[in-house]
Amino acid sequence: MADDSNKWDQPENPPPPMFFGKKERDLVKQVNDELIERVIGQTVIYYPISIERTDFHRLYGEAIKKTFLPPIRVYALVEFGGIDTTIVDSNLDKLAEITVHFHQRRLQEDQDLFVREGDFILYGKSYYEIVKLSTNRELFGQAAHRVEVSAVCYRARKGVFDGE
Amino acid sequence: MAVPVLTPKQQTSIIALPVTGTHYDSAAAWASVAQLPYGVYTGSADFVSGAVDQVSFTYKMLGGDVLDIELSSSNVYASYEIATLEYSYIVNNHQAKNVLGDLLGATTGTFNHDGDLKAGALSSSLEGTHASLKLPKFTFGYSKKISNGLADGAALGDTRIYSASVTLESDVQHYDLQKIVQDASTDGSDIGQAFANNVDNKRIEVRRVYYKSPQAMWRFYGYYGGLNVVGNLQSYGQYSDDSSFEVVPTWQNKAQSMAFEDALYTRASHYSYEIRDNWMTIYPSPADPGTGSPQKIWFQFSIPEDAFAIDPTRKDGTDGVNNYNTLPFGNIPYENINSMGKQWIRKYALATSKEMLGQIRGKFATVPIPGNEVTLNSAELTTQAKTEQESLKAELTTLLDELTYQKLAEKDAQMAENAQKVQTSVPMNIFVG
Repeated sequence: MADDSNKWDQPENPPPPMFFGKKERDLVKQVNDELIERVIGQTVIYYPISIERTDFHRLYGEAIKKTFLPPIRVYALVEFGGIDTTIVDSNLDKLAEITVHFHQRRLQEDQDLFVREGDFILYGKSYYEIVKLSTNRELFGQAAHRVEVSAVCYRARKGVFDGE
Repeated sequence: MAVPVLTPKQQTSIIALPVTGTHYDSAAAWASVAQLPYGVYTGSADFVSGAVDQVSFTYKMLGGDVLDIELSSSNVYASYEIATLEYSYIVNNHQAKNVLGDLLGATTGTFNHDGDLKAGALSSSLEGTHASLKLPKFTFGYSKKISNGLADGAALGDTRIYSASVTLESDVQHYDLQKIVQDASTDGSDIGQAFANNVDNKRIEVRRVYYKSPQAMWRFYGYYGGLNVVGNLQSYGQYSDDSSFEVVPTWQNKAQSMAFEDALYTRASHYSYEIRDNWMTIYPSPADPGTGSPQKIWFQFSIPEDAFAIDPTRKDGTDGVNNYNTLPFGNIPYENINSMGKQWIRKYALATSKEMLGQIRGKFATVPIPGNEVTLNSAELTTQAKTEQESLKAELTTLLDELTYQKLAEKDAQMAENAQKVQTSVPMNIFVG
């Protein structure tokens, strides 16, 4: 049963978060851009794979030759995970891993770039394949705003990808 | 492989201090862009130039050409305005110490929200100049006020002394002087006393009580006497029969009159009085006034003026400057601040900008970055800025305290004394022509 005393009107323009609004988020972006690009200055070359133009194997879904869109230089914070040596069936194998922390707003708003699993990255002189993505850090606890996109990447074996 | 060079375009407006501020054609246009908190100096083209240059100064001093300074030009303009106002405040305080004593009672005015004089008598008389920039005449202002008060107390100054009398009644010892004067004042318009309608229930100050005995002169010259003819010298005044006369020279008349007055004064002055609160008590109780005791007792009194009373006949400064608050000092015009002052303002504005930057960078304890967090230098900036501001203010205040008019006079006196000491060492016995 309708009770008039229990009605409320939602404002047309809801108030911003009490302590951290757009100005604060913009300041964080500004500090991040400056820090990542002008102070630290680590870069990777991002190779987005063109799904439309790559010839996939019809059964396995893999492509030996991958077609990529024009590569983009991206400033990001790279965490080098080291090189693990493993022995498989009496054969030595070396596995290198990096974690690339992308600044999400810079990437998406200014460079129109969206990180995807399966894309490749050139870091130093090696190509790495993105195998796992996570966006688990919210900005000031606000669900709609994330700080970063973290990409776990494994060094691609020769022949898997060639950006030349 | 060639690394592609991309210059991503910022979609978000960043806030970073530009290399320099911006002049606009009109002061109004600049003011709307600058968004100064008070806008006290926006009408001054020189101030605008100073504020624009301050942006460049701040940019360089905080390393803006290496890393971003998260301030806008408007922040620096505001710092510059605050610094100028702070300078004006300190210098005006100094000048207040110098001249308040001489300006007490001088014309004051009303002030707008900026602290500047509104249009009015003083504003007109200053003709656009500022009282705080003037060297006033040395007037002993407050000392004179004290002297006037003391003179009034001694009935030597502006205080009017009124005279009144009480008609004694037989066997009535107590007389309410306050009531007698008040009643006479209320009815005064009819009888023309000087204090008519002036008492207004104010407490009167009785200054002198006395009586005169007109009978004395009557008896001296007597109804049979006159000059050169006087009553019997031996018995007159005590046992005179008013019928024995001698022809005497004038000097004897004079000597005798003086003796006679003295005798009367001595014999008839056994009446005394005492005043407590409003009441005058006559001792002894008057009996048969006019014959056996004085007919009237006269007294002089004054009516203390209200401290804020305004003399209708002349301006006496009651409505003028009374203390620090009413000194007619507006904000010091930017154009009247010299090079030392300008440099102080630059430094103080820089410190204020630094404090602002510290506040901005300190809103978050840490700023999240991808994979980590970063702590900015807010604490250092804020601490440095505060220290610099305090240091600048202390330096200026100390300097000005050494330059008060009083201190300058002391230095002059010291200089004269030292010069005199030097002179004593100069050999005087050799004349060089």
